[in-house]
Amino acid sequence: MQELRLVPTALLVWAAVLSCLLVSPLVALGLVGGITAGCLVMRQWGQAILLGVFGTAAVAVSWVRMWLAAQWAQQATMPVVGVVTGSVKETATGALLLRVRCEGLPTPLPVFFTNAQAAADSLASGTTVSVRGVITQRTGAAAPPGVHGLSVQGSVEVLAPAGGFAGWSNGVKEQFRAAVNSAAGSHSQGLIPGMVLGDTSQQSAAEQQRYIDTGLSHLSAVSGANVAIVTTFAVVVATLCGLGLYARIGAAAAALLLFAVLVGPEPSVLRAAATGLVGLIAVVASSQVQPIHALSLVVIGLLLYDTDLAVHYGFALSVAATAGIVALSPLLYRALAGLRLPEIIVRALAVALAADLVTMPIIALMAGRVSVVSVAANLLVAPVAGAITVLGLAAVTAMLLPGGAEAVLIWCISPLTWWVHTVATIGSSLPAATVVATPLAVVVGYGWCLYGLLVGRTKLVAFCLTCGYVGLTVLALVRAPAQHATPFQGLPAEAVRSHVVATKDDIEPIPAGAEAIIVLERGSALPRPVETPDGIPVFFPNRN
Amino acid sequence: MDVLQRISELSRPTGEEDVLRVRYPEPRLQVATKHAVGLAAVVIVGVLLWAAVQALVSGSGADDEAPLWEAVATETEVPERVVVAVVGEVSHPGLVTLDQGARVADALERAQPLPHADVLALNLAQVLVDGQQLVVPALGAAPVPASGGDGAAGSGGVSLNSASVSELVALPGVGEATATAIVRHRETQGPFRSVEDLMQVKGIGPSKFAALRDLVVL
Repeated sequence: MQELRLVPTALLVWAAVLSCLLVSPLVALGLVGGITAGCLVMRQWGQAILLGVFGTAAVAVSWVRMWLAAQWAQQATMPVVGVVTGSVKETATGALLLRVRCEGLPTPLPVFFTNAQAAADSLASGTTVSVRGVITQRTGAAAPPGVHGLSVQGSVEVLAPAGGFAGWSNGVKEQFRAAVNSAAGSHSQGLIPGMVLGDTSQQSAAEQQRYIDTGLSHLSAVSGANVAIVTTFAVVVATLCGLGLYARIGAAAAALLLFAVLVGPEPSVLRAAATGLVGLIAVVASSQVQPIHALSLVVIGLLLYDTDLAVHYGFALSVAATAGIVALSPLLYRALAGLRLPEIIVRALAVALAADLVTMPIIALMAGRVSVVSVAANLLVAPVAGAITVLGLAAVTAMLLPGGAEAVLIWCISPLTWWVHTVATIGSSLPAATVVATPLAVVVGYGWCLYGLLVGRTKLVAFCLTCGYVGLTVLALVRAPAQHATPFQGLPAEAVRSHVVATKDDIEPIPAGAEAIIVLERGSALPRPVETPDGIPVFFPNRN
Repeated sequence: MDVLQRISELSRPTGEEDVLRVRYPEPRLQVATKHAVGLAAVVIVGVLLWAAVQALVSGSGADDEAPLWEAVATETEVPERVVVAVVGEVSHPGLVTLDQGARVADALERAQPLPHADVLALNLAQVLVDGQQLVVPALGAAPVPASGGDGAAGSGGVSLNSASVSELVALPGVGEATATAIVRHRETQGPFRSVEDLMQVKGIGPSKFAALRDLVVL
């Protein structure tokens, strides 16, 4: 934590891009100018130059991308032809969401469709598709944060299947899924492709929710942790073989390349590779390059390369977790040393707690609910996560080589993923696994815990946390029957696909598959029930 | 072995030395002006290059946007020479060969109309079409029916084998349903081999056929 020279620049670049996307480019320039002036007042000439130039460059790059997107929107005609990035996702209202990269548009275009004909497998990453529908552009407060507020609602038609590298990578994923289905039990079939290649297509929505509820969803995403584990393993093996410095660097680079090639051209691979390299540097080269310095470089580079990352929750979580672990885990390790547990457990607990502490406010901001059991779940899963990643990657490589070695490796991984699955199932079935929380509440609560730990009252903090958890459990058990009551008249008790908006003007366009529309504006009660011309009921719960 | 020793170190319970105060090193926040200027120059050059590339790419993309008009109508092949027949009150009746684009006046110049020919009955400026017949009347004779300037079969009746539904509807006594039936009969049973075959179509009986007979051709 000594080399902090690039930290102000990284923070300013992120703040400038955020204000450029969310407010306006002029406000962003004003922010950059203000902070540079502050540095000049404090006579920090070097920092002033860095902040001024990097901040202006970031705002300029974002502004150009926003302008390019506006140009594209003006002369866009139906049908729109583009290439799919990422995989098909199902939204809360039942419609399917696809991101399509179009010529002339700097960031991918989200497309909502309910095409039953286009099966999800034929829309793999890299497919060329033709989209027909209505382009909507939302601006101002209602716009989804990003370079453009465009989205298309319509139908998707496949023009050409994924070719070249993307096609080969999809083939690898399909082959691995088949190998896992034949060699592993049902508890692992969703987890193994997810934890190794980031392929969550075999995880049902309920299973995914269980991982989210116990804070284990980061395992199934292509994240820096996978890259860090794989590259560190390669370096450790090279060191055990007695190889020199350049050979070790070469081993790490080869492992990174292998991972990137096997996972394929996913949008998150670049982000994962960059943050994973920070993790690798932290483990093997922290005396040459300090992790915080590497992290700042990565943040600046990635934000200049892809403007949308500034509002991407996954990016924020990765960076926050890395920064939190680097900055806070020595403090927490010292605080937890009083528990007299084996050192490796205390280290793991310090890392898990540091990561949880920093990411929980962001998760509260993103989802409104935080997982209370995530520290315990992550701690229980920590010993096996690394082994699963490395063995899984070895299994994929063995699958591509002749011989049937992948069945043996998958058979070895099965019990480990069974453990992860069990932890998630038991954790999510606890009554108070998740709790509704705002970011402020999380910061205050965790702040008090941190304070208690740092002044040495570890046992008191542990006692308070246990009481708090018991209290939450009791509350959840008492309130559980009441939660099943239907909030609205005339709707079935099970979940209804609803489209929630803030005001009546935001109702259009109605997403496909919506069964109810909920408008949150306040006002006087309406005399009659309201429905759209298509017969979808509209509810105003705040008008009474 | 080193590894075993390391593992045993990790599994021992935490001791007093781990509870020592954590002291973070003095943070380094100052940047030397030289370094800052160098880095700033690199960033400025990089951003300008990127912006130039974006401008080039979007500029060339706009040129490609010009719509491609599909050629719906193809040019018909016209022969280089036209051969027309000039008959009637002329001194050299017969075939006249002229270049493409020649007019009636040029043909008459070759054919030499007689003094009592009524040249005003013809449009002297009309462009000649290959295969056209020019009839030059005498002064005071009955006007000749208009020569088919196009050379294509215009009058003579509605063609049963090639007319569309809208053209068939123009016939007296034939409505939408009957016209559609004629077209469907043509498509399923093949083209009409004689005008009498029209009676095989549902909706056309002997009386209606008698009314249509003079107005249709094969």
